[in-house]
Amino acid sequence: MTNRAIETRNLTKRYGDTTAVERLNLAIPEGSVYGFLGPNGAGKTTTMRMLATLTKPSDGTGTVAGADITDRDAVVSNLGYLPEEPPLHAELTAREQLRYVAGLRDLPESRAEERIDDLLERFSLADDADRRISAYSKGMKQKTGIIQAMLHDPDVLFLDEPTSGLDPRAARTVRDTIADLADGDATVFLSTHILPVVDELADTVGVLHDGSLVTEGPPDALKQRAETGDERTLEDVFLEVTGGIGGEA
Amino acid sequence: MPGVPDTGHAASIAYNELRVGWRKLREKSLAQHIAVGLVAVLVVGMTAGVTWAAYVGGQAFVDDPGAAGDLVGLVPAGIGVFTLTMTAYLTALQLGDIDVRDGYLTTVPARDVVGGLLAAGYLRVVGMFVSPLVVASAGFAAGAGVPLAFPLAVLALGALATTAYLVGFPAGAAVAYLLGQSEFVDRYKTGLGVAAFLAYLALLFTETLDVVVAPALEATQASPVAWYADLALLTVPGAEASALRAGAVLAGSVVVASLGVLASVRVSERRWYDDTAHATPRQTDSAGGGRLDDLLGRRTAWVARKSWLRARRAPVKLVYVTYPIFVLFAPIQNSVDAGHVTATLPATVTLYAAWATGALFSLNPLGDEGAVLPVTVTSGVSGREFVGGLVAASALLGTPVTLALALALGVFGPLPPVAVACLVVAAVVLPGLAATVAAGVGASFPKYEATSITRSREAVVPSLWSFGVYTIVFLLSAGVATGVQSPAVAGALGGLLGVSETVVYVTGLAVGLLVAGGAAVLAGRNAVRTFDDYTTDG
Repeated sequence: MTNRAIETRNLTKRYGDTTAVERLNLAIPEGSVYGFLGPNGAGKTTTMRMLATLTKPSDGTGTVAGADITDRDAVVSNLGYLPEEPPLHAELTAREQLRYVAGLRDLPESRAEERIDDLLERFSLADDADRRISAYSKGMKQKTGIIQAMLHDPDVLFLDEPTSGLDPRAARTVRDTIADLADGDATVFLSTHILPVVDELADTVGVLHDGSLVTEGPPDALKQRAETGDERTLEDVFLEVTGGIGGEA
Repeated sequence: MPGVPDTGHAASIAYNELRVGWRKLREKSLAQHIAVGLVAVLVVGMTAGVTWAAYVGGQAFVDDPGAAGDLVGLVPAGIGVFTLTMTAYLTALQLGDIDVRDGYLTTVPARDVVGGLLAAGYLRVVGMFVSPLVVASAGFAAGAGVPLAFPLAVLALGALATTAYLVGFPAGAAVAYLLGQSEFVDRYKTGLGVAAFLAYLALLFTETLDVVVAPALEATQASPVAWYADLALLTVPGAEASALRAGAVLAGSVVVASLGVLASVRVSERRWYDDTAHATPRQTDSAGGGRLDDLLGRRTAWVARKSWLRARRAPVKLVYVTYPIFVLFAPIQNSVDAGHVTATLPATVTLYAAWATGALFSLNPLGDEGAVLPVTVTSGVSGREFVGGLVAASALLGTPVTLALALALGVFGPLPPVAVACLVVAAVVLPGLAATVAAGVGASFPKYEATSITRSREAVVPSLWSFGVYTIVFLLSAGVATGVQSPAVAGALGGLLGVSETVVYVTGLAVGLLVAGGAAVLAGRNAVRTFDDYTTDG
């Protein structure tokens, strides 16, 4: 058993002549929150999809919860994944969707019911749980997607913009939930453009630019300018390492 | 066992697929419910017909088994080929993939998802195609007076259909995978799709479809697939069915079906996890300007260009234009049979081409804008410019095609010169008028919700009301202008009214164009006003 929840070595993804992710090396310890930042098109989603076994690396290796990312069956049981668009059946109610996924995850029925009720309550969805997802707002769908991703207490959670579309109260709930998860043994790989969220939650921040990891470290260390000792914001750091305000094409 | 789906997960996924499918069906409009009801009535009617035929066949078979001849082997060959091809086609199109695939693949092993799809697809495909034959088996057993023939026929039918299904599924998934892998297909998929559809229509219209199907049937008939008949007829007197062949085909079914499941898993996994083709990024279309701007004005030209660009990138949204193409079936078939262009073909093709031109881009002017509509109406573009752009997009594309068809078929057909001339005038004028009529009708019956074209593709297509009202108005106007351009119609009308055929050709054209023009003026005004007055209040 490794104490690294996520580890990659020279992980690379190429599409024809285009390199989406280049020689990415990550070593994320268990029970931590990793804030994954980068401009649009930097390769964040491709990286998450490789780690979630949804796309094969062109080169390099990686493990998630000790399982090789080319061994899907081994990875999937330890994995929770929330892509940018929550994967939900619009024709089902949230409760039906969650019961269904709990069944696929082989969660014992009584435990699943209890957990679903608990999470629906925590995310203020209990009153709407028996309405069709098609009638939900973006935020409600997002909350259902988050519950679905964490329903089975996964070892590693990949969350792509989890607070997108949420009202401040729900966003607070998500942030608290992520902190609670990390206080346990879970590892959260958090991709977002909302820098204060990363600043608040992440133990380590990695910035991807043009497919390469351009900086990595604890937020406080990144914000501290080495040469002068001046305090910067995470936004300053982000802009600096990704080519400034005009840096993103 | 590795590679084999977990039955519990597969059953759960299949149940959910069917549940979601049922709810989607329930949420469809009344018109779509009526269409489904009509299909159900058709299936019941066909089941009754097939059962009656099987009953009579059963009686005839026991009276004179030898008379059945090749038919005994042809029935399982036909069922096998049909089930396999339909399964492969539907799998490539729809059954082989699942909504929210990423969610599934990060929840259960991919093989379980494949198991679920296999089970759900099996119930859909086999349920639809084989259920009527199960009932027919009862008819055959009753006709033959051999009750035991029923369970054996059902067993044979089940084994055959299951095996064909489990061969067809990986074949369809493999086709979808290969299509997704090919940069050539990815780049030229629109053209290839049109070519395939035209080839299919050509086979259908020229009655040469059996050139393709017959060899497949003959080969299947000569293979052990014919042995399913031995299994079905084992207890029927005089059938000379072999118990050995029946046993062998049953055992073979188990082996082939098992291999089919494993192949389905392997192929689907490759399809889902291998990267799809990424053709070299194409250049963004040039920014416009030039002659189209000069011709239409800048804003109108942009609306037209946008319509063409969207259609080229997502041609599936225009598929509804091909629905009525089957009206051409009879005239084309008659021409093929006769070996020359018949008198009705030029007018029918011109009518269809003008109709299709009108329906292309302007039949759902507001709904087709989708989420961009609020931006469009507040962009400063006027209703006149917007509607003009849509009409121009249709007319500039459809008029040359309609004209070329009318001219070619008119010249090579048996029409008198005056009728050809009238048809050419109609081909020049009608497409633009049709597009304007379509815009007005479509503005009155907008449809904003997307419709599933395939499982993975949704598109906003015109409402059924738009489709129907536009077609009626078009037929009452353009139909008159082109309908009389046939010697038989002109002769009959001329005789009735006591005028020459030439008068009928010209007057018919004039009346038709006048009515179409009047309808276009009213419809155009309505479309412009609706756009200008659009608010989200409904």
